[in-house]
Amino acid sequence: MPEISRKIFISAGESSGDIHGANLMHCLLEKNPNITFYGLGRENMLQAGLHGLHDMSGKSLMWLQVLTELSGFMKMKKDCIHFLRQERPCAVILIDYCGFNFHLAKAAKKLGIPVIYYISPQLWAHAPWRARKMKKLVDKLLVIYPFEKSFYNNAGIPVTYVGHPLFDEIHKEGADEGLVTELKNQMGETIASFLPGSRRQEIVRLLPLFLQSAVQIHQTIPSAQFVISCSNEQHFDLISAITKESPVPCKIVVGSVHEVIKASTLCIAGAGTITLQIAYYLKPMIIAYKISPIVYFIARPFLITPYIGLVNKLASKMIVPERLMCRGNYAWLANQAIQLLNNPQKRQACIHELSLLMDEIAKPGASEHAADEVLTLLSSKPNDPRSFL
Amino acid sequence: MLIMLGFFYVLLLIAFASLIASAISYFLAKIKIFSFTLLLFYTSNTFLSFFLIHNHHTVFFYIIVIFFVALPIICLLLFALDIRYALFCTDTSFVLVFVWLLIPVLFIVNLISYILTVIHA
Repeated sequence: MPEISRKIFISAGESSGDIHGANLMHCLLEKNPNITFYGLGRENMLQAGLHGLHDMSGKSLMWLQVLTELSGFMKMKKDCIHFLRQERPCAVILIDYCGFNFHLAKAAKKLGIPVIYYISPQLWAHAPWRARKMKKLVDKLLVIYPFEKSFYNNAGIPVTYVGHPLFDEIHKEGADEGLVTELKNQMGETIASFLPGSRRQEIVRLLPLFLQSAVQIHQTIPSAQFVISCSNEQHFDLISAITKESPVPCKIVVGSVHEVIKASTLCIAGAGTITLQIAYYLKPMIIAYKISPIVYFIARPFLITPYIGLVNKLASKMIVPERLMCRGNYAWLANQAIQLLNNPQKRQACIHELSLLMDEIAKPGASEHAADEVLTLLSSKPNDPRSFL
Repeated sequence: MLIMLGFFYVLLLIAFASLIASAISYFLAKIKIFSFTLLLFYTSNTFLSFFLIHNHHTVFFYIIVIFFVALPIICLLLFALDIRYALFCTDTSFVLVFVWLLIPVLFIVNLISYILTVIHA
């Protein structure tokens, strides 16, 4: 009788994937303390008990940056495949990060190890044809947005909607009320916050646009005060340098994203998960995303979703203003901001739509649900020598 | 010589028109029109390069054909196959950046060759 393996290989590359991966690991360990985790992750997953094959810090790269780290990625892939061959874990759990994780899925599939993909890459937005690849490589897909279920079901992939783990985090941590009050006392009644994102490129592209709009907003509403959320301490110097050129004073808050959002009257953000955090606190927002004209030209035929903002996509209608820009259309941004700050009816309508959306999706328990799905899948293979049971 | 220059001029016009048409059809995601205009673009440019460059700079002509014609066409075919059959783990859409960088360069190379031929004539 072969020895029963309770090893799970888990891989996350992005910092958000690391947080969600750690939460999933905690839930799995609560349900079965005998599990040992191996794989790729960052500090949160390592703290949760991951035996890391490689540290993934600084590995969230885009476009050509990947080429500069190509040999490192090849080495990681080789080590992971070697581990899968030698140790034969009972499952492989992959969290987002499809650029690398698809390669691991392929290797695991070849070895006959069940592959569970938690948090699907946003193929529905830009590369729907890759769902076919997903079907070939994945045994179970755990998605975090309700509309993803039908998208992947149509592609013939076994899929379960587990909810968004972000809401687990928010329910667990929440905003520090003391800091929120302090911010409000410092800044006054009308606070517009800028949340340009956590990536350097996003900050460089979006923050100057946001600051240009701040000038116009300030001219129309002199009482408006501006806060910039710096989610990553490493980017403080960059944000300071960009802000220095702005004629309107802006306070930079490092970390404390929840507090910044909660203290704000209006949030101006790039597209992404941050918009869900803003929606959770029922704050009116404007979504703006800027790309270069050449990138827009190349990506245009593949932009199949009518909305760039997650909240609009989830609501299937434009509940908050959004615009994808090639040029810095700060006048549009300022105009929308002024309307949302000055027009109570418009503000209220936006808040009402956000609350309807949040009633539907902002439920905690995604990690727990995902852990249940993982264990169900593993227990459904009782004849497998690597089975859990 | 004038007849030849006139012929090159017509080819250059076709190359330019097909470049614009392919860019528009690509942008509007009209795939069949895009495929046709791109084929026209590559055909006209290959002929143009052949007539303008091949006789005097044969090696340069083959470099142009391999790097600016064959390579992007292979990339596009691989991308199309990946869309249809999900062949690669890596997202192949990055080849479009590569292809769209090379397309205008090919036209500019031919345009410069044509201008030099006219000056020389």
